[in-house]
Amino acid sequence: MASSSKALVRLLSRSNALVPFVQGRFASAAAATQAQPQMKKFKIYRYDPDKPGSKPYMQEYEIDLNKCGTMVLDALIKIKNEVDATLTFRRSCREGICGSCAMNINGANTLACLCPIDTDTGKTSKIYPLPHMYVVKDLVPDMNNFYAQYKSIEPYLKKKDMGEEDIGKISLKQSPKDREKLDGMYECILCACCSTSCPSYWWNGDKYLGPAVLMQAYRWVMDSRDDFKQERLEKLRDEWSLFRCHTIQNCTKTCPKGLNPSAAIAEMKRLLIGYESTGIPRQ
Amino acid sequence: MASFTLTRLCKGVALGRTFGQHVLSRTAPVSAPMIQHKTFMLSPVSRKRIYGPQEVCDREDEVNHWKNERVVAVALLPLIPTALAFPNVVLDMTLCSVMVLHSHWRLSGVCQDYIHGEMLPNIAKYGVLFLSIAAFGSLCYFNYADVGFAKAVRLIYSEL
Repeated sequence: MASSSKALVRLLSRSNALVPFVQGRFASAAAATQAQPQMKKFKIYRYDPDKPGSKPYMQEYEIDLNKCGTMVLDALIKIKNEVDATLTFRRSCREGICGSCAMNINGANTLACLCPIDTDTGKTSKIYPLPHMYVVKDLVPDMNNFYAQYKSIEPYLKKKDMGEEDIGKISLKQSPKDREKLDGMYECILCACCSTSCPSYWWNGDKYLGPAVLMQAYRWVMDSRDDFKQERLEKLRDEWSLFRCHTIQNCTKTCPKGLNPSAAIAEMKRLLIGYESTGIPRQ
Repeated sequence: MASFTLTRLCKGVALGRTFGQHVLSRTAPVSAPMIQHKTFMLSPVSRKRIYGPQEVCDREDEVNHWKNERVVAVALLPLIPTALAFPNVVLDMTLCSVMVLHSHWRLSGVCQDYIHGEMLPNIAKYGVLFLSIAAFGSLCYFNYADVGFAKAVRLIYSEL
């Protein structure tokens, strides 16, 4: 005890000399990295189906990580601004709330704005559009089917004894406990990362609704203010819409918002075979 | 935005052609293909690709089938060790039928998932049915004419 405090005192007395030394080391390190550019390679999927006879190919770009933001979206924007203006991708909020920049980065579906660049310059980062979607251009997939499926579950509040003219006249209140049942579902931003990582959705995307849409279906089933719970469930009874889920769990693994669509689907199966459900269980 | 305007223009042209053909007949054939070519092309999403329960499918109610599948799968867990521990005719027959049922349902599911098209799904469906019936028939025959399923499995470990 005594010896360690002595050592501390000795260290403190020397600290005046230590501070400029440490500062000097950091400054030289910073200067060294600035002098030496950190070149990182990106291999990006390019495809322009509008051009007759064109085929998809991978194009390689190299950018200096010292002059680029930390996320993959920063790199993409930098490439588009400075290297190749024809590179096409969707982006909007750049903070993980709009779901526009969903793409397949190094083999996993995620949001480019939430995915840090792998700083290992020896490795090439590969960027593809969302898997098994029709490509409009480069990293932009055709989301029409996804949105049509979302529309088919009627993602809005439906009341039984309320006409169009009554809308907005009374507030539809909900107890905090009922509101809690929507936790883990209302946060979904519909980026389609989960649906496009699901093998069942790859093979039967025309008929199987997919995890993202099913989780929203469950969100409206669980809403205490909605009067059509049973009708909503009845629409999912057939063999394709819901029961094509084989509990593969890719959806839960890939979700960039950390949600659990697989649990939502399981809860809905429970509801359909007559069990109670109280929302997605807390983990 | 430009593409959106073009799409709207296209619609306008199409409407014009149906409702006022004589008025627009001069301009429409010239402009329509040009506009259509420049319009932002999306892959065609036909109605068929958007599933709703209103479309025809083999099983309108999958719930009971799904439930039965789970029951059979869970029942196999205690059934297999019990049948192997106490070899007798009743357990042999139960195990064989439950196993065949389980594999038949899941194989049909696999075919349904992966085999697409007009003809192939039907071929696969009846192929799986034939396989399952053949498997069940042979197992019944084996149980009847030979030592029985559980004893045969035990023989693999004791004799080989």
